[in-house]
Amino acid sequence: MATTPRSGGVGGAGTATRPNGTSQNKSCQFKLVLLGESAVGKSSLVLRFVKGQFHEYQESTIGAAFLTQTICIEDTVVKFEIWDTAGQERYHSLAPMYYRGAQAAIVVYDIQNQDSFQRAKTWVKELHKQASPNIVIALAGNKADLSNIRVVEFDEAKQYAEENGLLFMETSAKTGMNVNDIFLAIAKKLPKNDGANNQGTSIRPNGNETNRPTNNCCK
Amino acid sequence: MSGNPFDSDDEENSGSGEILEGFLCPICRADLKSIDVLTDHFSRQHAEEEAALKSLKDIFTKAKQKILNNFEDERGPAASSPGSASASAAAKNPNGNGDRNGPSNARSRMNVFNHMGRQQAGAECSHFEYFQSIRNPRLERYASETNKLIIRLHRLLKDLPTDSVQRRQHEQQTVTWLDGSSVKLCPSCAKSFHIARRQHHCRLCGGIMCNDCSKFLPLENALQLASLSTTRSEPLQQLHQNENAIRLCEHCLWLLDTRTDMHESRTCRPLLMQVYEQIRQLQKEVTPDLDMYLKIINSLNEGDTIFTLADAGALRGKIGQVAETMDARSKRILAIFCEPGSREEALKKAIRLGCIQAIKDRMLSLPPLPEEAHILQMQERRRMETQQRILTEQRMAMEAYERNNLANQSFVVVSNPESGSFAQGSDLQSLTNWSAPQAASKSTLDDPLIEQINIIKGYIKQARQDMNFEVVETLELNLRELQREVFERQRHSQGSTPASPTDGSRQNPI
Repeated sequence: MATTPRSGGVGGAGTATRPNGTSQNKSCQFKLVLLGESAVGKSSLVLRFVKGQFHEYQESTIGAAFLTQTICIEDTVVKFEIWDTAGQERYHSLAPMYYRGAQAAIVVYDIQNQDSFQRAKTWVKELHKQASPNIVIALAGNKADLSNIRVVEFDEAKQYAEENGLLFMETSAKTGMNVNDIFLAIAKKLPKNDGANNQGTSIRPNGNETNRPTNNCCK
Repeated sequence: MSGNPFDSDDEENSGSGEILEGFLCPICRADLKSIDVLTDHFSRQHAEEEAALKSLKDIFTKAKQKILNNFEDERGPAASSPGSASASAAAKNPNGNGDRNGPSNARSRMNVFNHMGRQQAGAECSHFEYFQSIRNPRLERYASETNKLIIRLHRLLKDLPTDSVQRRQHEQQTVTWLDGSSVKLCPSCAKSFHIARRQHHCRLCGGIMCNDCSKFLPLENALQLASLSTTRSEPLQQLHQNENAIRLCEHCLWLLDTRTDMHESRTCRPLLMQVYEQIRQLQKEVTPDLDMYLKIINSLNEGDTIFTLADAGALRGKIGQVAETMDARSKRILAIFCEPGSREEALKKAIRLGCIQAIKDRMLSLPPLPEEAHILQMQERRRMETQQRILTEQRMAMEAYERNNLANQSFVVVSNPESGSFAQGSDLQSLTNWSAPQAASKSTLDDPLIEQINIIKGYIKQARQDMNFEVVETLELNLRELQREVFERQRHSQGSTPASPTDGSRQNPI
């Protein structure tokens, strides 16, 4: 009972886009990190995006989880390397390690929990201070299916996001609402030109290479 | 989204099929099992990688700079080498023709290799600001979180009801408890909740945990933390029996503990420091004594009578005691337990060595007490010398007087040495016996000067007991002046007895 069927967005007609051939397309990969208070649904969002699944009783993440997902936008193949961090406070010290060099971040909060929204704000602040300067940050108000008992108003979050230059959507990992859209929006906002260099080479050296100039340590 | 941008279940997704979870290194993706191992691995392995790359880059940029610098520099020195006219021309004219630059170029390149051997250290760069920029926000974060907890604690404890139901209500009013209906697992140990393992709430953050993961903060400590007086709340005292602690989650307790630790480390001073401060204090106190002792010994050796041998002995005994105490204290420091080979141990040894050195240099090297006989001899000699001097001066004065003046005056002068020596003797006697001149004290008991002398004698006695030799010295000098004054007056009152005016000023053998 723990899983729901795949949502239409992921999988299914994947072969339809294949005939274009990846060889002609540009391909790039991005490191994306999920941050937010514990139990707001970071892992569920990723699981929905990557596997199209939803577990009612998603277990608490230990340390961090790593997943990848590839999507196509226009003629570009975008591969997300997703680092899903653990939200529990005791893992907080690990977060900088994961958002270091990340090109994108999704800061998740729970629309039923004001504290988680405040925590999201501090995450955004921390990212602005410590992460790569050109990081793309998206704010996701999760559990939108429980909109009737919401605490954090849509307009409030929207306004905050606009003030801070964030992408913003209310999502629901349970229903799949806006999950793929938020990742797509991020992919569209990310610069693709430098990613083109990544084509055909192995993952790690490129990852390092793109990370290096953005590290704010000891320059 | 038009079309389907997601392609899944093909070769591209071989990676996305598996989900890695755990303490993954963000670079090599190895699972390192615990936070500490992971942070350690990350900071060591990958920081080194980056450092190596960076240093490689640095070497290249430095080498490049060096070569460029040498290129500029070498044009000067090259000019001085004999026979290279073209080079000197090039040096004078850096923008010279290409053919002129040719030889100097070759030379400079050679010199570059010669210079490789003794390369200087590179530029220095302070990372302090960066360190601060990282550290301050972190400190701020912890500080604000801790403050929040303290404020909540304060509110929680301010008027905590004794009744358990009311207390529960009060607690929930102060801190909203998380809704536990959707929490099926304990967030910290991941065990499921059921009838035997019930949900509990942290009273400060409202978080949920099982009983095993709950921590308890005793009320006394909590009151202290919230800076509420422990005595004020009478009802709480009664409450102590049944529910005498506040349930907290691990994180909140950790934050509070860290705060307490920090507070303690700021205020408490380790034993070593206390003992060391005692030693410093002793050292500081004994310094004037040492100087005083040297002064006393000198004055004794010169036959002065301000101080006695007993004074010197007492002071020496005192200094010896201080030295012993210092020695004992430094031994005590050495006895404080610490890890062998640690910096603390080195510090303790250094303190001990410093103490021994100080005792040796300053205290044990003091000159020994002079022999009593020697002192008496010195005093005797000095007295004789003084008398001798007085006599010769008197004789000289007398001769001059005789040569110049009338015969009837000579009678006065002749009788003079007698009275002078008598006065001298009584004065000296009074000094050695520490009693007022006999004649004066008997004849004029109510004389304010005599009274003053007696008072000063009392003071001197006290000062000697307190070993305050500086005061003794001033008082002694004072006393002498008074005694001279008394003597002078005595002589005037005896008016009829012939006395020479030269006498009064000479009697003092200081």
